[in-house]
Amino acid sequence: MEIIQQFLIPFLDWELLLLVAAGTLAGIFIGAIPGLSVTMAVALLLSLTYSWDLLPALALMLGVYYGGVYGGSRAAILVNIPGSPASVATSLDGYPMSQKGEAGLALFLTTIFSFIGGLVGVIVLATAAPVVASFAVQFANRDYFLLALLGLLLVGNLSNGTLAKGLFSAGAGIVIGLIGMDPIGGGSRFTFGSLQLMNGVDFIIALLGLFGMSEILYQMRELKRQGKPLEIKKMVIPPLRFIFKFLPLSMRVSILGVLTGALPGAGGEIAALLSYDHAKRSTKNPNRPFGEGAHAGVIAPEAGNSSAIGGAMIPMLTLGIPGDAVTAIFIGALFIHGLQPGPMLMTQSGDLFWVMVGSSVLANVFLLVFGLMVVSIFIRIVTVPRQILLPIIAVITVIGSYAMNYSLTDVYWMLGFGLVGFFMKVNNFSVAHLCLASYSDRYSILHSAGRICPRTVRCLILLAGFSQTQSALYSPCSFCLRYSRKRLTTNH
Amino acid sequence: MCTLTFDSIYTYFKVRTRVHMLTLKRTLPGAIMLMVSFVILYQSLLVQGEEMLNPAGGGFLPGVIAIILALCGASTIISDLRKNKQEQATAEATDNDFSKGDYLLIFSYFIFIVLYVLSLSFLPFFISTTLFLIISIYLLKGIKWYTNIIVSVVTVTIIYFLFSQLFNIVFP
Repeated sequence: MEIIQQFLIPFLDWELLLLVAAGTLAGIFIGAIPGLSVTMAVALLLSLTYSWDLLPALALMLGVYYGGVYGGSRAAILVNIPGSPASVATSLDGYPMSQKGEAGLALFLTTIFSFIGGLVGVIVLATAAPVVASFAVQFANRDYFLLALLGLLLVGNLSNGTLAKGLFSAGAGIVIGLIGMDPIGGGSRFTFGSLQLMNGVDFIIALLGLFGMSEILYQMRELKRQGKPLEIKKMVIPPLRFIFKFLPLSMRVSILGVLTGALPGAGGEIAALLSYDHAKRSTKNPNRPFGEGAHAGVIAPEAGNSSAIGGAMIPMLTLGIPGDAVTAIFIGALFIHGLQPGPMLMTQSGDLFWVMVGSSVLANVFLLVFGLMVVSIFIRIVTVPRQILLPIIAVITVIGSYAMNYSLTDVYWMLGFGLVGFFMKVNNFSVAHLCLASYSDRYSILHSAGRICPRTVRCLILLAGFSQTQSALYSPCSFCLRYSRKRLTTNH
Repeated sequence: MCTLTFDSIYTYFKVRTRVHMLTLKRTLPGAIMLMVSFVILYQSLLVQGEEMLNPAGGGFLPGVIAIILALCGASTIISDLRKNKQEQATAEATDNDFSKGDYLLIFSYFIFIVLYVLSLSFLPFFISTTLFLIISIYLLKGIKWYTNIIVSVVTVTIIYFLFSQLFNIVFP
């Protein structure tokens, strides 16, 4: 009874209710603007809410978190610029849907299934947090290596062109992820003697260049052709039968998303990628081929990355380990208010846990309401003439890349990535592979192959790690190998 | 009996040249992949203080990746060369092909964006961005001049307010 009371606090306290609503709405718009990340917004909120009480501060931050992850897919679908790394997989089919005049349907589907995924994440957080947390902490370096291996094997499934080009993109991305100082030997790699490259390349810069700038350049051709303006099909709300058809898939990818999100250091982008791969493998008769606007191709990554939020909060609340960058900021917020995240939090401040669960459910409800309400606003973006839209996107990508570190050098990097991305698109290379693999933080599978994998491989070699390798086969991540083998036999 | 005329020889060489050009064009991605692989391999050899053949060294994995990339490049070239040559010779420009005019427009606009970024270091954000938008929309044609000015000024104002006031971002 006490738990239910604590759970209902955000629903009954008008202040918390309004803050969650405001946070979710703000998050949707922040996530939709390329260059403004959820992490940046939550970090800013941390400084703004420093003097607030804990519950209002957490309610606002949770709203922004859920809204921001969801909002990232708006820009991915409408203009092919993922608002966040978690939306890269959504752009693979979301943008083609938009190009076919189905932007409204794509936005509707992502809203519904983000809600479902988010809700599944919260339910798992509320019911199975300790079990999932104990599973997640068993992940050692070797398991991350296997996860990285799995990520590389996904390349084959994500490639729409030849496998060689997909592998090349991923490999080149890993090399970009390696730019900077070698974490073990301390030597510089691929820096060409430049000190500015010692810290590596920022992933968001690569994202803005490879998706944003390259798309602007690619779309310039359409201006010259003066083709027919894009016709937006009148959005017909799909029948419930249509939603129910995708319910089993969304449930499966939501569970996958929660488990991935619960891995310390993993995040929504990995969850979305795995979910997309799962959808591609398991959907027998897609309405269109994947990569050309398949409905399952937008549903799966959105459900996956939304459920990963609940997953990311599991290790944060139960063990004090951040699931991703945003939950690391949440830990900071808890510390500021004198709380120690970890096993004792559940026993000493159990009410906080249930208020957070309640706020998360509320954020998902607002996400559904606001998401459906603003579909018609967002959809207008597609109808704006390209002569106006392209220069505005160019300005936003320039300012977005500058805002990351207040550096014009980053803007030049973004432009360089834009040019590379353009040539990749012209020659049917996948920019998504390069982008995911070049993730210069530690929160990505393919990046893991760039940072975690070499470190792990080298540690294994240094330790004459046959026994280590052998034990890896019996580790919690051995499912990755089985999964990978199944993938190889299915696709190649 | 076949008679060789100047016209037939000319046509023969014209077709041959076209086939060679198309073959070259189609194998260009693979060739670039190979070049990139070799640059990565060379850079892997230069990793400071590490031996290339030491598996625990910093240059080992990039070296292995470079070799895999080179194999991908070679595989792409081979698969491109295996494509029907006749098909290459008769291939017409498809919708996906970019013409020289397309490239000219794209690179001109890219240079214009670079100039805009350069201008940010000596012009205030508001002025440089408004000018960039007005000139861009004017050059891309099809928009009335008053719409152009209104859209540019409103957009810059919104962006400025959003980034500087709400997110405290200091413009260059």
